Amino acid sequence: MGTEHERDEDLLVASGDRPHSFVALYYRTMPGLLRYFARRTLDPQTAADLTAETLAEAFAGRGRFRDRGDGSATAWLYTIARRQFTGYLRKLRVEDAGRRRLGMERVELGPDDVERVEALIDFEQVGRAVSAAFDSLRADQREALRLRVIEGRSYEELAAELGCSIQVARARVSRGLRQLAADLDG
Amino acid sequence: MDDVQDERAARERAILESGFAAEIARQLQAAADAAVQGAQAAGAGGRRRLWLVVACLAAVIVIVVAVVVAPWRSSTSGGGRVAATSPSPSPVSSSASQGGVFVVPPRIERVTTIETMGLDAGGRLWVSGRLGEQEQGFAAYLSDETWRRLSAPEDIANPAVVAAISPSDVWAAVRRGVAHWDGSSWSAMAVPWLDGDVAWLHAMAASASDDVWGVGHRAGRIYRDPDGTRTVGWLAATMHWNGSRWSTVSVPTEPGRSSALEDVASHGGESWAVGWYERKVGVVKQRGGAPSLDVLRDGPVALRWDGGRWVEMEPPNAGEGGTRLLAALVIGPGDVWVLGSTARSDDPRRAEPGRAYLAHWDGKRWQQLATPRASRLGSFAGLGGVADDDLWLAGSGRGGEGYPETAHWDGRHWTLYGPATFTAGSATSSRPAGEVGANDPTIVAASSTDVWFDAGFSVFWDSSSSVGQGQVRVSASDPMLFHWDGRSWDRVKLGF
Repeated sequence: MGTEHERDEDLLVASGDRPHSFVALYYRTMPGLLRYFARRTLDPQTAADLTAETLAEAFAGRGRFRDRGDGSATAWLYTIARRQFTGYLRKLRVEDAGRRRLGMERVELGPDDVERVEALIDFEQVGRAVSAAFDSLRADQREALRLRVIEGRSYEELAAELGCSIQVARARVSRGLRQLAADLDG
Repeated sequence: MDDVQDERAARERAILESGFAAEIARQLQAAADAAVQGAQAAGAGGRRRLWLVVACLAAVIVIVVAVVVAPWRSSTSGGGRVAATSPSPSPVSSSASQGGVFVVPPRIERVTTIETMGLDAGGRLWVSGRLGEQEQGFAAYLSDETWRRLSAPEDIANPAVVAAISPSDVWAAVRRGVAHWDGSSWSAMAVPWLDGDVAWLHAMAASASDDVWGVGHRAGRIYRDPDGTRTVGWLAATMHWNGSRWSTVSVPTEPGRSSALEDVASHGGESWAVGWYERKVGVVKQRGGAPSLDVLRDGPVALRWDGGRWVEMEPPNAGEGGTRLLAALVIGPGDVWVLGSTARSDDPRRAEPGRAYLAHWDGKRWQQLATPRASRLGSFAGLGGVADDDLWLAGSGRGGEGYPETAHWDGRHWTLYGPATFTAGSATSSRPAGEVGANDPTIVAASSTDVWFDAGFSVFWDSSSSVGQGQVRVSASDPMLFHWDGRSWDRVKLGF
């Protein structure tokens, strides 16, 4: 062991009996996870908390990982990350059960740290991606989203303006949002 | 050739050189130390294993230095520190990108997850969760061994919060309120304390059509500490449906302390809500004139509905690291169990898995019952049962852990069904890439020979997809649902 090209999967499997292998995996995967969360929450501190919690949960669950080939470690790790993120959307509160159990504390970001995480988000690129995704929406969905999300109008007003039923206005907004989310994901 | 990738790599290096990344690494290192110590203490042939561990540890440190640190050091040493915003065209060593740095999050194509389970007034099993690529919410019930599914309301906020009285009387949490299923359609309803952006419904319990409880928390007032730090406190909140309208019901809380309710249970006219509150146990002074920080610990909250108001029942506090209550089980009037988790110690060096906290209220006083230790780093967070001598605890790990396990209390002894019981039952033809524990493992008992356990889900990874640029897909996730028939645990497939 110890070649330059040791796979993530090998490190993860090895960490079952040799927990310190996980620290090596941490250095490899942490920036990617942080970016994943930062681009979804657009909040550096929350992203850092979610990253730490995901890694704590992954550390605790490392014994259950099965190596199914290249990429399976990433799939496993991001499934945990995704779970954390949907939990966060649900409660708007980052779980700390994983960290508590490992005796890990919440790490506060300093001003320098915040700047670095923001660089990772790359707001300019996110903005371009959002406007590109928005432009590529179907015209009726785009218009419904513009009225509802950007102008904050009610569904009754949308229905009147777009000449459709409230039900249809709702469907256009929700489909538009779903499409936006799909376009921006990854 | 690829400036974008170079820039990305530079930004990621900057992250790893930051103080907080080093701090998280240090804490993980300490957790790894603790895990090694735990393994030594547990192992019988300690000394031989110690040497093995030391040898591996040394090897791993060599790898960390060789694989991870060295390439970054060497690629940054020329130009000094890499500024986060510089479009640094410095060459990126191939091993940095090899190490999973450029990773595109996986797409999950077919998803079935169970978020919660419960029994309705007729004893039917209900599950709710998410289905399909769009992760649409659903609720389904089991009737005559057949699953029947309702599609959830379009704006379902949280499929973990569904309460059913019968197939034509179901409540679910939606954005800014709740929705009711009358057997043919959903209708949404605004609810006083939920009608805002910062409020969460964590659980509902329905004992009859005119007696439904919802509990959770909402943002309390925003107050400023002497140093100007803004703090948002959480306040526990409850609401009740009396058959014609929802109303907010106030909860005894002390000003300035955060609290939240995690679960509510209702049976035979007895209703309980459980959760936690934050209590200040000290102050930490920081170096360099930075403002001092309050040291907060969780304390257990158990509320009993006396017919007119919630009364605080003050369960015993346990563990210097604090206690949270997660689940309540009402067996009958004056016969209630609460389950929680206790952080044993604040010292990371002494970190060990906290045991589940289980306490019984007999109508007069509390009594704690020692719980068995969950396997490895798992913990018990689900509570079910039909009598004081027929109780079940369920664990699945949380989040990333998949350690499905249950423990049964017969009034005198605990019987453990460890992870092996549940992995042996998953005789699927395709092998899962891993198992992810339920955020809130649940166990419900309809009778002593009819018990259901939701342990999370298995992840299937599609090996045929391209992984060239770290593009990975998770092809499916399947729920890990198990049934106890009085003799053994068997895996159950959802029939949809």
